[in-house]
Amino acid sequence: MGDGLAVLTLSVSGRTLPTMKSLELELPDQVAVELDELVRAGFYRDAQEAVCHALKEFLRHHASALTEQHQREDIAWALREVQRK
Amino acid sequence: MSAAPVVCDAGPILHLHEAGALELLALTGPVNIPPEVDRELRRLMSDGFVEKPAWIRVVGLEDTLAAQANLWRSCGLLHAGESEALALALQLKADWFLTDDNSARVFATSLRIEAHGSLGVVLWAAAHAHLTPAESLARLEALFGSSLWVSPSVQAEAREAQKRIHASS
Repeated sequence: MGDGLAVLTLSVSGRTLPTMKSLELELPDQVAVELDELVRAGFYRDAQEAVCHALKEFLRHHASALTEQHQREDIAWALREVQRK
Repeated sequence: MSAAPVVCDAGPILHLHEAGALELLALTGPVNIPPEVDRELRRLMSDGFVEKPAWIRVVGLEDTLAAQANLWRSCGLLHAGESEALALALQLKADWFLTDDNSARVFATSLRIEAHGSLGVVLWAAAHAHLTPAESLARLEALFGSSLWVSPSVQAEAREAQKRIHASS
């Protein structure tokens, strides 16, 4: 692995869910190293499982419209607090 | 400061910590977390969060509310930390439930618990004159640089609100 991108192939068909799609990802070397460290530490069975978990978390946290709505509610709340003082 | 206790899950503590603004949380009132959130924080913040600030209190759940939290978690409605935090908010009759998690916030609102997130905490501190204009802008920018996702349009709205807050105070 050089200074460029590491290629990680997610070939998951048939192992856990037969309907999963396969993706080929190009990762910065440093990210690949950190993934390997997580696997070596025993947090995941392999890099594929780690990436799947990361993607699930990304999707869970990036329900963008609802996040924006909540943050806009907080902006409005702070502006009301100023008026209330 | 809120009159009643504040209950927090791991999100705002983590995001405000990343933004160097954790002290703002202390201004909101006594901050309580359940044991699962304490465990999550120790795992997430191994880079120096060994000493928990004295104003963050870990409070255990009564049996009935622990069972309720377990039900929410086992049904897949909320993760473990968020389930316990929301149950603790019910137990303590918390004034505010602080979370950056969409599901937890929707759930809290459905239970008539007032919920806010990290962005709200920073702007609330500005609104109550705990921060100078320069300090509140710096905290906002640091929060936008943290792992909390804030869209560019909401960032712009927050900066505009920050200006309006200081202009009217």
